[in-house]
Amino acid sequence: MELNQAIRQRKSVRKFVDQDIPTQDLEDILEAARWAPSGKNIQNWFFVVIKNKSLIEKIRQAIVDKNEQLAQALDRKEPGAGDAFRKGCKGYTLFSTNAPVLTVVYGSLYEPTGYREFAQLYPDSPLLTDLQKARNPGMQGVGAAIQNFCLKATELGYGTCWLTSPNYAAPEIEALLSQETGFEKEEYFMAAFIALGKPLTEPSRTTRKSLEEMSFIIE
Amino acid sequence: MELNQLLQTRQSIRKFKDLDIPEARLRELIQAAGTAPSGKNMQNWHFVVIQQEVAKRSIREIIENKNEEIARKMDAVDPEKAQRFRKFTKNFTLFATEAPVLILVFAENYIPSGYREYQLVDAPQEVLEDLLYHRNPGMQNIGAALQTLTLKAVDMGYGTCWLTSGNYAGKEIEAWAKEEEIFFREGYFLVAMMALGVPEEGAKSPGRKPLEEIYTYIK
Repeated sequence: MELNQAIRQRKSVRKFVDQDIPTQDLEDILEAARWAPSGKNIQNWFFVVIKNKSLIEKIRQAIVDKNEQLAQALDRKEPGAGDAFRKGCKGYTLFSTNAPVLTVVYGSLYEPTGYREFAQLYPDSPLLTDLQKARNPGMQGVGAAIQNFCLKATELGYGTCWLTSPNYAAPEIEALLSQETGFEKEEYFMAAFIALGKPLTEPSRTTRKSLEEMSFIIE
Repeated sequence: MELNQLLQTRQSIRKFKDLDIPEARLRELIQAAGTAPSGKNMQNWHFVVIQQEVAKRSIREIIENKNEEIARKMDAVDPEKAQRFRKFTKNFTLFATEAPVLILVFAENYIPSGYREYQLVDAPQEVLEDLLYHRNPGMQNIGAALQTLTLKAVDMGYGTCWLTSGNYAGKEIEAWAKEEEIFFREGYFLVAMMALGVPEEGAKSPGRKPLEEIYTYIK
């Protein structure tokens, strides 16, 4: 597919046909992700690609439990305060566990240029967090890989939804995956989910800011 | 161009032909970047596209000065490391200010799901920082936009180099953009630069990890 077409067709898909995805397609999609750029070519991404329904169900439960725990803490502050949070989880997070394939994306931090120098000169400076975590080059690289994943999936006729909303349950999901599959990778942590499958309905396209709102050209 | 071809031919370009890029092409490029997905469709990016020599030189000086400031302090602690830091900046950062077009990428944070809720229940600072900065969904968005920009550039016959190595001069570059009335928006900060132009031939692409090293498949 032409790039322009893939860019235009890619939309967030939240309803999927209950149909298996061939391994070859998954590998083609991952192959696309593999070629993303990253600082010093560290390729700091890892994809846990899950088709197994019972494992996906356990992930769902981990999110529901964490959501409920936090919602109850909110309710204790103010009765009813947790309801919006419960509802958000149903509407915008749990759908991903109904996708035929759920990919849990892991990433690691990147040591930015100047970081070591700053750390040696000013070990307690807030600049360290600023460089590594606020401007976070590591997560920029992971974002590039996920975008490749989504574009390639679009080309193959699939729909994706890239979501970070389950991240508040990340410690629990990391522990679960370690326990159930043995997957653990030093310094890597969960960064996002990608829901993947054939779209059930044609989703609507969201709008975009005008060029003037998002750029400035100096000639 | 076909997506697959783009994904695999894209590589970092650090040497460019001395050719301008027409504004209409720049607009096309930025438009493509703007189609990237982002959490809650917040489109938390802004691109300052610089073709003007004076402005590029200003950026160069800001980075050089900041580099020298740090290197001089390092001289007292570890002269060898100081020298390496100077050299790295020459080789891997300043080239960008000699590209026909230099794009400064600004972004704002994304408030992750659960963040406000955690704040309300007085969660510890580490939990908040973990969600916002460590797993940093905002910077994942930026990665998607920059990867889309890069693919589009290759599609149009240009080359790019995406770099975050100028970020240690981020505050100074932000101050310059504000003072020159080029760009200032509350909450936005510098996250990356993109060098852009018609590539000189002969750039080498580093390889990638084999697929097996970057994924686990759970059937």
